[in-house]
Amino acid sequence: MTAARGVSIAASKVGMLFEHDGHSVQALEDVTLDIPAGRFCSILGPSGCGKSTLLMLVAGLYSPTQGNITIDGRPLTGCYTNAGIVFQTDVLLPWLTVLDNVLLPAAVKRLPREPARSRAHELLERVGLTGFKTHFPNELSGGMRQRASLCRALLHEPSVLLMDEPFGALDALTRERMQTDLMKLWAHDLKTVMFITHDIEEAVLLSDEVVVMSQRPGRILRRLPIALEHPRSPELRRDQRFHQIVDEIRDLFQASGIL
Amino acid sequence: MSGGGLYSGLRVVAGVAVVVFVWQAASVLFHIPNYTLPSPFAIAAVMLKEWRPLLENSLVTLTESVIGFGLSIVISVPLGILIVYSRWAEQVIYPILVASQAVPKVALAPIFVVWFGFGLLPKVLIAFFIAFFPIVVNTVIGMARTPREMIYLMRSLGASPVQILLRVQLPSATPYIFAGVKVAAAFAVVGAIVGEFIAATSGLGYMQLVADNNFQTDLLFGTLVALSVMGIALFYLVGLVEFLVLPRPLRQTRVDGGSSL
Repeated sequence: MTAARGVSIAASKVGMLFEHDGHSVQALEDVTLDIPAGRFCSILGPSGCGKSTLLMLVAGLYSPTQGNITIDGRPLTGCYTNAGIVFQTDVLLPWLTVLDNVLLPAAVKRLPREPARSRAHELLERVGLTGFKTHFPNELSGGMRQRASLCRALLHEPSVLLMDEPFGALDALTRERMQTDLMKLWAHDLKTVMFITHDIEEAVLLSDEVVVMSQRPGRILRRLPIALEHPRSPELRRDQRFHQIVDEIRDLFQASGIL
Repeated sequence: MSGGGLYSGLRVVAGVAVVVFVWQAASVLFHIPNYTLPSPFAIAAVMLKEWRPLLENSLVTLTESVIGFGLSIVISVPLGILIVYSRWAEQVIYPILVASQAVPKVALAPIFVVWFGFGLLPKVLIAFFIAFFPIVVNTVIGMARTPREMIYLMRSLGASPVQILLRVQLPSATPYIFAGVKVAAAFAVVGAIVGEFIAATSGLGYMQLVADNNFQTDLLFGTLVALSVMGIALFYLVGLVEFLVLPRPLRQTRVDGGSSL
């Protein structure tokens, strides 16, 4: 398969002010960030720090109240329709089978039927869901549903994968298994990934770079390149260098009063 | 589900049988006069004897109900969609619809007779007016309950508003829409009967009036049985359509349970 290598993402002095009947909340402030093409970048921060807002801005589902977003060098206007998004919940359509859910991007984008089907089968096989294609989402466990949702996000070979705490709702063991699966899938496709998480170890394990954010209004506290080799494996959790980086981030959170 | 369905079906039949038996026994033991409360046996007898007028009048009422009911589906679902999609419709049409429900719709029947005469049309319109509102409300509520993330997902795939409507909002509203349609099926029969009470020359409502005037209490009950059968049949027909049309996860209501009646 000829995988799209991904495109670069850049945010320049981005701010986001939400206004709800009289109240206003500054969710993000002066966020400047660039993610080179094909890079796996985690946005790590406490809950409510605006990290999900940043993802919505990059997806073009919200428009920033200050600054601007560029993808592949082009300023973003409206939705970025060549992204794959994985939300915190699986957001599978309950009335479609697993296979039809994975094929949703092809149906919406009217992609040629046969190549899309074979890619769907291949993706489902890679995450171990081959036996569940004709099942409905409510017949699957939370981990399986999120795996199907990951397949759906990858079906149309998006140039950017946006993940909003995708494993946050899963139990600890399932989460580790999913992280391993994601590392395999990503090593296969090497798209640009923006991964939102509040889990320090998860961020370090998966990413090329971890962007640490402050409490609201969300600002970037530090950008931390993770100089660990690819492909990553779960064994990395036992590595001394892994723990040094995790501790470094934990110190940073303590120093800024988040921990 | 089918085993439980058969079992609950048997329970319903057994329950009805017990009621009929007690009723029949009471009629005989306490010598209840036929013009007050006819026995089940007497009702069955008159229904057998008068089967032809019962059937003919049933068909009249059924026609009125089904057209009114069909009209309510065809108009209400698009109206619900319009209210969800258009701010104007939401702010102008929806409040009028809600306010219109404060009007006792039964009281519209004489006006419709004045306007549209004694034929099929006023009954169809009354049936429609009583039946359409639950479908509109349920369509609006169902579509509004579409999870926000599903719409974000569709937009991020570049879906058009029509694609979002057809692929996400309408399917996720179908359990609500069907719930409204079931209520509407029962309401439509009520509407047709009310129309017949006011002015008619045929139909079960008309037949009831005639039977009442002639002190034929047994026939009065006979028409009641015919009406109940019609209402139940329509309700289950909607359930059957739901069962056949919707994929498994969207079937909210079971077609086999009699308890929901």
